[in-house]
Amino acid sequence: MRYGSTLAEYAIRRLTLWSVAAGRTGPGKAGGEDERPGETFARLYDEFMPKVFRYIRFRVNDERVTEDLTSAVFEKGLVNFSRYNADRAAFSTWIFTITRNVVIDHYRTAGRKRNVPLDEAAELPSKDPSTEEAAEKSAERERLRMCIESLSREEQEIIRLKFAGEFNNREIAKILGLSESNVGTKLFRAVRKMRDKFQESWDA
Amino acid sequence: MPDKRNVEEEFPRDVERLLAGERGKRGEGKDADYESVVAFAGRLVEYRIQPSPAFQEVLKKRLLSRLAEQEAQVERRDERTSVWQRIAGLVPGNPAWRAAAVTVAVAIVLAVVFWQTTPRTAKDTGQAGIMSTPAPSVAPAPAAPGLKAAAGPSVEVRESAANTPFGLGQPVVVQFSFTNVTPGVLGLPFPPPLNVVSAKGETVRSFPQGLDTRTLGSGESVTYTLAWDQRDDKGKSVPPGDYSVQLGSTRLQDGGGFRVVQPVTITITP
Repeated sequence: MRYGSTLAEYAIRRLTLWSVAAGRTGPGKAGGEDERPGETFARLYDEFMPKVFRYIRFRVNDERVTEDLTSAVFEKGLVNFSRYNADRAAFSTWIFTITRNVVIDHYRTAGRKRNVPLDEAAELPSKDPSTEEAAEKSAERERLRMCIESLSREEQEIIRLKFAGEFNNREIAKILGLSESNVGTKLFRAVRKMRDKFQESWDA
Repeated sequence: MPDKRNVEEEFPRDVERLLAGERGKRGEGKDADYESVVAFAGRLVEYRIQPSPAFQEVLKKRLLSRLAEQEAQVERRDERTSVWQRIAGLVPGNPAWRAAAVTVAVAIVLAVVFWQTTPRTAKDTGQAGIMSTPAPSVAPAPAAPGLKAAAGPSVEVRESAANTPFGLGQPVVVQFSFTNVTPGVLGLPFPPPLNVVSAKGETVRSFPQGLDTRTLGSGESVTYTLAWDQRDDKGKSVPPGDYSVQLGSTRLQDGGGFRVVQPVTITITP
């Protein structure tokens, strides 16, 4: 197949080719040769955008910044799709590599190191009728946030990739360079640590 | 307490069930500690933050629109490439035939050039006559800012700016409309070079000419929006005062110049 002279053209052609291989990464939906690039991208976006958003939200304590970084991730994904090789990495792994780099760049630029994984009181997603209930949820979120921060960096990342990114253990192992069984053990221990810490804060 | 190997395998599966929205389905034979950890994992799932549907939709539309633009660009390039391929296909593969085809093509080009440059009488053409000498070339515009001193305007320029005066630090947005006022087709360097000039006549910021060329038919217009961050060429903020955006020196294909029929003055206030 001929390739255009620009990266944009190459990206479009690869996106078309990738639609054939898309079934390897998307659950239950096989891409076909007839799927247009726009349809492929829309499907990938629908599947991965909430995961990317949640992952970033775990790390960034600002809804607007989270939206900006999420936009940046998918814009980079669109531009760099020519470099994506489905034989080397699943799309989920690829897009999350971009996601993690975008967050790292954000902190490097902003000069902030703090990870605040959960929501604050002003941004409760639910439609709580009472202020008291909202305040309780906010307090609980704050305790959960502190529990996550008490973990090691590796444990925090495993928690984020599992609960926000919804990766399975094999994928997490590939991203972090661990064995699959190691991820399972660390995940259990991390959540148990968080439970204990949460209970301590509750008792206090 | 389940053995270590079970926990490594069972716990992630239980978490994945929680993520999939399943509740209350647990592996058999698990102790209270394990169940408590799984319940806590359920709490983490419950407190995840989801993107708003509005943001999700707006971003998706923007990305798909960009993708559609890129696809359209690819298709246009493909069409141009296929045209060249068809032309190349006309040239025979045999070297002797190829040489003959090139010779004939060169002969045709020379004949056309000769015909164009040969003087004719008014009786033949009904006109004052085709010039026998090439048209005089227009001298290039001077390097100083301002309108190009041209034989006549080929492009009319209209400028407009919203929100004048501008506060210090506020982005200055100026919209330009370039109209081809010649009877023929014109190639416009795009965007043309633009200079921000102070009231004293000093150029404080230069925006160089772009690499693109826009082809305008007679009467056709193209717009360009300039966004100036109120900084000079050295990156320093300019002082308050009046400024204008003028066209830099550039050469149009027909030797004509620009005529600003609707200039705008930018006032920056402290």
